[in-house]
Amino acid sequence: MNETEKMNNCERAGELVAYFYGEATRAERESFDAHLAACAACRDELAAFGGVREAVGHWRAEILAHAPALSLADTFAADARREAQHEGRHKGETAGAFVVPQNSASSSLPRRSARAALREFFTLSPVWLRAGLSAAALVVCALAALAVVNAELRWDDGGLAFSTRFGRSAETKSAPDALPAPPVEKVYTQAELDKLVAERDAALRELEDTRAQLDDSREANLIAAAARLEPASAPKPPSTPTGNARRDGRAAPNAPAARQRRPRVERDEDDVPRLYDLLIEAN
Amino acid sequence: METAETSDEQFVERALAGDADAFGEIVRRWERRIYALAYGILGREEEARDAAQETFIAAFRNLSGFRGEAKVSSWLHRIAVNQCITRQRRARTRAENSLEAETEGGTRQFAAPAHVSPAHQAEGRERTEAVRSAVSALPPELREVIVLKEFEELTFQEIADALDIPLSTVKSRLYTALKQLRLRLEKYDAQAARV
Repeated sequence: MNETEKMNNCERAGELVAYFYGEATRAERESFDAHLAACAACRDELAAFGGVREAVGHWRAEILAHAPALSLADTFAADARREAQHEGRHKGETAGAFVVPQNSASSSLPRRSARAALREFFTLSPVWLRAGLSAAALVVCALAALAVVNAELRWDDGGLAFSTRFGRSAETKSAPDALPAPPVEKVYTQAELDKLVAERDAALRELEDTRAQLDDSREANLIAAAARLEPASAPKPPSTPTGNARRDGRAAPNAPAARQRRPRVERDEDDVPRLYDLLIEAN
Repeated sequence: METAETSDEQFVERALAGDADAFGEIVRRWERRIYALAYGILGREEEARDAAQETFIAAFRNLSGFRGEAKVSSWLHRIAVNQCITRQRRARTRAENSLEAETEGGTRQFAAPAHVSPAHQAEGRERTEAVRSAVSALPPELREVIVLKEFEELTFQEIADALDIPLSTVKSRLYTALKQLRLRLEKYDAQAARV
């Protein structure tokens, strides 16, 4: 007999369970008794259910015969006594005044950890609640990530634009060979320009003065050295650049000022005709 | 303490009045049956023992909430079934509910009485294992009703109260569970006959 043949298609099969377990009313039982006499499918199914019940009963008997002792009874009793003593100490009552704790675990009974309770909460929560919590957690994480990268979301003519500072810096770091961005041209005001020009003129003047001082000191050093080497009666004309410049009829830009600052002895030496000049004139 | 005449409800009253031993007596009375119930639903010894312990701990914690409107046995059954359902859901979540595949470790191989011959012992063990396997293979909602009915012999109404489902649902689930168990056991018997 295959499974299809075992299917009880009798329309009164639903009543069979109550009859089988003896929970049908007297009228239902009598009615079903009459039905059974005429319905082979229900008779067969009833007999088969009896076999199932017998097999399950044997299994149950074995489980009960080998059920381990939980040893909880003494634990509860000891815990209750301890609780009573604890209560008695605190309230100044005698030790017999045990009160069952109001929804509170006793000390020796296992307590659930917060983690276990949380896990149980999620395990027993309906799917929609778990899905909602997961979605909320994802949104929070996404917002936190956006805050970390300093994201900017804006809607302009070009559409929806999304940018992050983190992304820009990362882009710059990842493309070191890229051309640098063109510098932005700074716009100056007239006052700033005037100030810059004045600063430039002052710097130029200072540069000229410094250069003149250097020339003077170098010339003075040369003259002093020549004076020490040559007698005063036959002075040799120093071959200084200054002299050449005078011969060429050109003068350095700072020559007048430098000449004014020369000592008188130096000026007198310049007034003496040079041998080279006399020879040229003689020729 | 007299125990044979004292009802469960009287023990609860004593416990509420401060009798330290009263709840322990309830535990002694019911621990094996609650364990058997949990084993029938969960199919694993370790899980069943934990569920039974949790049942009594939960009952002790909520003793003050027991109103006496239902029997203590129904109250304990309800707690035990809830413990088992919780564990089943955890197991399903962890995808560890492989009751069919598990034949060692958590599944207890009960010893047969000494007067039974070894051949019969082996046959009986196999048959018991087949029943355990068939019950464990039932969907949880069918397993719960068949165990409550066959192990605890609760009425349809008591099962409906324990599981918080309509009476008609209890009947239809019981009918479906019996049919599925019949098919599985007959398949096992057919295979055993061929061997």
